[in-house]
Parts: sequence; structure tokens; C-alpha cells
Amino acid sequence: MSAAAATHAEAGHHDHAHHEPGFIEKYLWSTDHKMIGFQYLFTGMLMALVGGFTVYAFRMQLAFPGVAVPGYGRVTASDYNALITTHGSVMIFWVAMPVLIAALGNYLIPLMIGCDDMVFPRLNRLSYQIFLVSAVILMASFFVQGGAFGGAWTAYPPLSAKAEYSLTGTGSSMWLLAVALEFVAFLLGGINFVTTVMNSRAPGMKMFDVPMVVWMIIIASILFMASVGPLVAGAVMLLFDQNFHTGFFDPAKGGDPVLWQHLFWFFGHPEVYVVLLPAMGIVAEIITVFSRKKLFAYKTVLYTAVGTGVLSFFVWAHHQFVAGIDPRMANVFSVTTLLISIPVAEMVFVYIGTLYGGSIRLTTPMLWALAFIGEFLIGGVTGIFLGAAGADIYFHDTYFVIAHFHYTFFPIAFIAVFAAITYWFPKMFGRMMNETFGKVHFWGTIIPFNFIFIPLFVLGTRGDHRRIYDYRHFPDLMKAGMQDLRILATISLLTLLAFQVVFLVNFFVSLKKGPKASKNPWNANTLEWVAPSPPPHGNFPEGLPNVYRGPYEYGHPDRAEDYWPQNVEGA
Amino acid sequence: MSTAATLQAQREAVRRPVVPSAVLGTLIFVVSETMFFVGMISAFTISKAGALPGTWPVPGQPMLPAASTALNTAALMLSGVLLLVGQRLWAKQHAQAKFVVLAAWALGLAFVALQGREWAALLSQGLTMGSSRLGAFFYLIVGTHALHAVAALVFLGLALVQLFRGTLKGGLFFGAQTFWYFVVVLWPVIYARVYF
Amino acid sequence: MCGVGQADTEWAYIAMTAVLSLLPLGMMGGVAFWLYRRARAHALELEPHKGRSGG
Repeated sequence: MSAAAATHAEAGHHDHAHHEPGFIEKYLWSTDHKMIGFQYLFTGMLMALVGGFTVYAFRMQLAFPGVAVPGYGRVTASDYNALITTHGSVMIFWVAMPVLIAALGNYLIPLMIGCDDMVFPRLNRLSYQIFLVSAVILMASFFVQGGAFGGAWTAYPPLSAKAEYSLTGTGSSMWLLAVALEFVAFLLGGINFVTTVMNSRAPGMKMFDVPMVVWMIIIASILFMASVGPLVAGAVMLLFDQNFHTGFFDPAKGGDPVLWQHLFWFFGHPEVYVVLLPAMGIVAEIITVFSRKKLFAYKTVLYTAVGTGVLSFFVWAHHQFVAGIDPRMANVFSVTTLLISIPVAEMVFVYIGTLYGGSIRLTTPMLWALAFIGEFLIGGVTGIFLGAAGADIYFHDTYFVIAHFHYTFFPIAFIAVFAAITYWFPKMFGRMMNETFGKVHFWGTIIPFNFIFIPLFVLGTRGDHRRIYDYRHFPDLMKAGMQDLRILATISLLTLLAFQVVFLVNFFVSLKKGPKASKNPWNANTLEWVAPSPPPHGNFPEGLPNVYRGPYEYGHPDRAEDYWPQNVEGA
Repeated sequence: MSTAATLQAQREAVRRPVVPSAVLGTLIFVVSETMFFVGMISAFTISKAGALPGTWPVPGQPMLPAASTALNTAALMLSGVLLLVGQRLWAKQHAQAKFVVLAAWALGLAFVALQGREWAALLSQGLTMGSSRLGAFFYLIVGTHALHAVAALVFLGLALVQLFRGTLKGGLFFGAQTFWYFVVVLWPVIYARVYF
Repeated sequence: MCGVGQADTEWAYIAMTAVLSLLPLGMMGGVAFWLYRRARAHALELEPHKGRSGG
């Protein structure tokens, strides 16, 4: 964090009109959307380290059961539960959400629509503060009696509701509290995003001139805000079950545990699209810039994203095929689940159409964007098997499921985020990142990533159950080669984690010593590249830009240059 | 002098919002809140439908006083209508506006007080959160609604103080009103669903 | 078995699923439609001939 602070102290000199704010006012109490974006970004990166450490510990246990893990010690069964729960919740709620939506949304939206800040800057600051409190509560739960919550990130009752089952009474209440607070934080953020884009666009910027990533973040925020209510209601009920002896989900008191799943997945599945859409938007920005072509079918992508959002409210019960839901409902949800692959596939085709015939430049962000399309496709295709109720009964709770959703979430939460960071780094910090280090990090991440999860697909098809702490107790799951595959996955994970050091070094060294970035190092069209790098408080010191055209006018035949910024006048 | 002032001026010139930001923000918030309550009411509906015979309500535990709550409901509805009238009068800068809003606020307070009395009676008769699932749902849903009512009354009270001082701005009044209408409109749904 | 097989529970789950899924879409759609109509009226009222060249 301090390295980022240093760069920003330099950036502050551009802005002589303001008084020099103190450290707290500038970095912790700021209402500037860029600073709040950085707060979310760095908190998210810190939490990613937590998520990475937990997966390291429990994968080591799975590959080498009973052996003390270097840097952690022996993983006990209850440790294992806490580790997988923390890994899941942290990676989704405290890494993917804050980085993709909150950090990039806060940083990019005002810059890309050409205004100086969010509509409700103080609400925005409050949003981050609530988020920070939620992260602190979650981390503090490791140190209470019984340790962190061990009921898996889906928190199914009665396991999560009763301390005598989960063995983590205080931890599970803290987990629920943290999740609920986090949602309040994103609710405030989402209100800000939608209102800002609606009311603060630069003059001349019409609905179809808004860059795709902004649209995607908006649609995702709307999905989030419309779906989160029932889960918060469920969280309150579960909290009461844990602490006030109510029996909402407790079968012993006549309660219905499936009811929790009903409320949880009503949010839980739109959530997938909440993080997917911004990632899709990032990729759209990057592939157009680095193939120097107009986005193929802008409006189609937009309508498809809206359609995906609508459909995402009708797929959630596919998580409950084996929970004893009505078979008629299972049929409907199978069909809708298979249907939703159509719009997503359509977006992928549109991106390939954009790439086709372009002058492709394989810079680091472009590599990440291309990898996103390929890797996410694998995640999407394997989802078809799980979406069909019949096949899901066989695959349910195996490592096939794990591999499937990691092929969707890893591209979303890491590949797309690395694409975004490497692409917008010059704008964010005013310096260029090192391309060689960037490419080493890229290959060092992508190759091990596939070597982690392809073995897990194989294990899953062989019936490897996902909620087992020590496979030595299950001879059927220790048959020829199965443990070898687990070891292969773990070693690939270690490789992947090791290569993240390259990224961190590149990030922090470039922050301090990278070559200075010009205003528009990638020759891109969108408005954030009109502002200085990094943009001062107020973003556009030469006045807010006027917008004359859409964001993707690359390679226009009448122009000498192959790009045509949105703010440049002329027919 | 400062770029900030120029920016501010330019921003004012540029922004002709279709809908004021405060309105749009409040609307989105109300949509989320609605989903929050719908989540609880759907859980209630499913639990009630799935309850085994003789557990909903548990014999020997008090019935919910649907009839006497009609009075509370009437007070709340009237409060909502009065606030609407107050808004109209205020927009026309009518001198009576503040008294109408005060009456709406007082009726809202009466609703919360009546609800409190009802809770005290039910608790003393042995209906608690732990005693039955009906009790748990009752206190959860009605209690959440009551919290919203109290919060809305606080905002409305702030607006009222400013109204009497003559310093009221549209933004606070609008937000407090929207929130209060939300509380008012939600109540009949809860009343019809939970009490009967 | 959590009420499976009871017709009432099945009905309640299906009905509440429909409500839960359709309501947010209806509300968001309503807000979006209202905004769209306001925006159109607004644009006409402000500058009837505003358009931009090229694009």
C-alpha cells in the first residue's frame, strides 16, 4: 500500500489548486473515486493473498495427508473445514466482487463517462468503510473460540446453524455478519454506479456511446441489487437460528433447511453473472484496442448482456437438483440453465468476430484477454453437463463441479483482473509495467492453472467426492493414479502461486521505477485516456470532454490514424 | 482561480439529469429493500405451507390479534395519505403544510406505539421467537418492518424540524417521504400475509 | 425429508420461486421503462433538434 501511496504523492503535484491533504484525509478518508477504487483494489489483493494461502494449506493436506504443511503446520479436520470455507468466501466475496465491481467500477466509471467524480462521493467512502469492517470481522473470526466458520461458503443449515455440528459457534455468526455487511457496502456502491452513469455522462455521450465495460458493471450492479435482498433476509434468519433458538431452518423444530438453499441460491446464481459481466466488459475493451477493430456488434453484446441478466434470475435452482426439490421445477431449471449458455456463447462469438481480421498486438493485457475467452469457454462447456439434471445427479459434489466453476471463476477473478490491471496500470499509476515480466507471469499462471484443474475433471468423473479431508479413509477413492492426480494438481498450484511473486514484483517495481506513461499509451479511444496519467483530483484538468462518437472507432478508413478518440471533433 | 470552481461550473452546465440523483438512488434502494422483505415473506409462505398439522400455530399459544391490528393498520394508512396531502400543500407553499405533515408523523408514531403494546401483550402470553416458528416469523417480519418504520420516522422528524424552521430542502423531504411510503405500502402486504 | 411430497409445500415453493424471480425483473423493468420515457420527454423538451454529425 505504501508504494502506491508514494506514487500518488508525486501525482498530487499536478494539482496546485487544492491544498495538500494529510495522509489520513488523502488515503483513508478520501471521497475521490480513484482513491476509493485503489482502496478496494489493494484490500482485494490483500484478501487474495489470504485466499491463496488457505488453498495452499488445504491442497497440501489433500496431496500429502497428515504431513505438516510448511508455514501452516498440521491441518486438522476442523482446520480443513475452516480453510475451504474461507477460501471460497474470500475469493468470491472479498476478491472477485471488490476488485471487479467495486475497484474497477469506482476507478473507471467516472473516467470513462467523462465526469469528475461519483454522484454520491460520501456514500462511496462509507461503502468502502463498511466493506473494510466486514473484511476485518471475517479475518478476526480466525482468532475466536473454535476458529473461523467451517460450514462451506454456501453455509447450508443445519450444519451452519448449530454450533454442535459446525463446531464454530462464534465463527459462523461472525461470518454471516461479515457477509451481510459486505452486501450493504456493495449496495451503496451499486446505487452510486447506476446513478452516476445515468446522470453524469459527458456532454454528447449517448447511451450507445458508453464503453462496454461501464455497461457491464452497471448491469451487474443492477443484478446484484435486485437479487441480494432475499439472501440478506436468509442471513438474518440464520443468525437468529444460531443465536436466538429460532427454528427457521432447523428440522428438529419443524424448520426447512431447503429454504436456506432457496434464499441463498436466488442470490448465489445471479452472483455468478454479477462477476462475469464486468470481466466480459474488460475483455471487450482490451480486444478492440489490441486488434484495432471496432467491437463487432456493440448493440448485440449489450442486449445479450441484458438478456443474460434476465435469464440469470431463472437458473438458480440448478444448485438444488439433489436437494429434493420438485422434479417439475428441476426440469424447468435444467432448460433455463442450458438456455443461458446461448447468450454467453454469443458474446464469445462476438469477441472472436472482433478479433477476426484485426491487427492483433500480443501485449500482456491482450494475452490475458485472449486467455479469458479460451479458459472461460472450458468452464462454460463443462457447465452444460452440470446443468442437465440427470447428469448432475452423478456429478454433484464431485471434483468435476470444482473444476467446472474454477474454470469460470478463475478466468473472471484473476485472468480478467490481470488483464484489467496490466491494461489500466499506466492510467492508474502513471507508469508502464514491464512486458517481459508480464509475459512470464502470464505463462506461469495459465499453464499451471490448466494443470490444476484438468486433473480435477478426471478425478471428478471417477467419483472423487469434494468434501473429504483425508482420502486414505476411502479406499475406493485411492485407486490407481488417483492420488497421483491430486499431487499433480497440488504441485501445479504451488507453481502457480510461485509465479504470482513475479506479478507482485512487477507491480510494485513498476509503481516506483517503471518508465513514465504518456496520456494514451495504447492509442485507445475511450475517455479515461484523455485525462493525464495518473488523473488528478477532478480527473480532467482541461475541462470535461465532449463526446462525438462511440468508443470503438478503430481503423476508420477516412482517418490517417487508426484510432478516433471519443472526444475528438470531426465527422 | 481554481480548476475546481471552473469544473464545478462546467459540471452544473453539463448535467441536466433526467431524474434527480437523489430520486434515482432512493428508487434503487427501495427496490432492494422490497426484495429483502419479499425474501422474508416467501420464506414465511413456504414454511407455513410446509408446517405439519398442529404446529402452525402451536395449540395453546396465543393467536395473532388480527382484529385489533386493524386499528394500527388504519393509523398507518391514514398517516401515509396525510403525508401525501402534506407534500401537495408544501409544493404549493401552503402555510398549513407543516401541520399536516406533523399529523402524519404523529400517526406514524402512534402506529409504532400500538405495535409495541401488541408485542408486549403477545410476549406476556408466551409467544416468543423461540416458542414456535410462527412466533419467530412474526417477530422477524413485523420487527424488521418496525425498525424501518422507526428509521423513516427519524428522517421524517428531521424534515419536520426543518419544515417548522423554514429551512427544509427538497432532497431530505423527498427521501424521507419515499421511505415512509415504502413502510406504509408494505404494511398491508405483511398484515394480510402474516396475521391471517 | 423436508416436506417433500406434500402438495402444499410443492405449490408454495413453485409459487415463491416465480414471485422471487419475476418481481425484481418487473421492478427493474418498470424503473428502466419510466427512465426511458422521462429521458425521451426530457430530450425533446430541451433541444428538439439536437443531434450530432457523424458517428
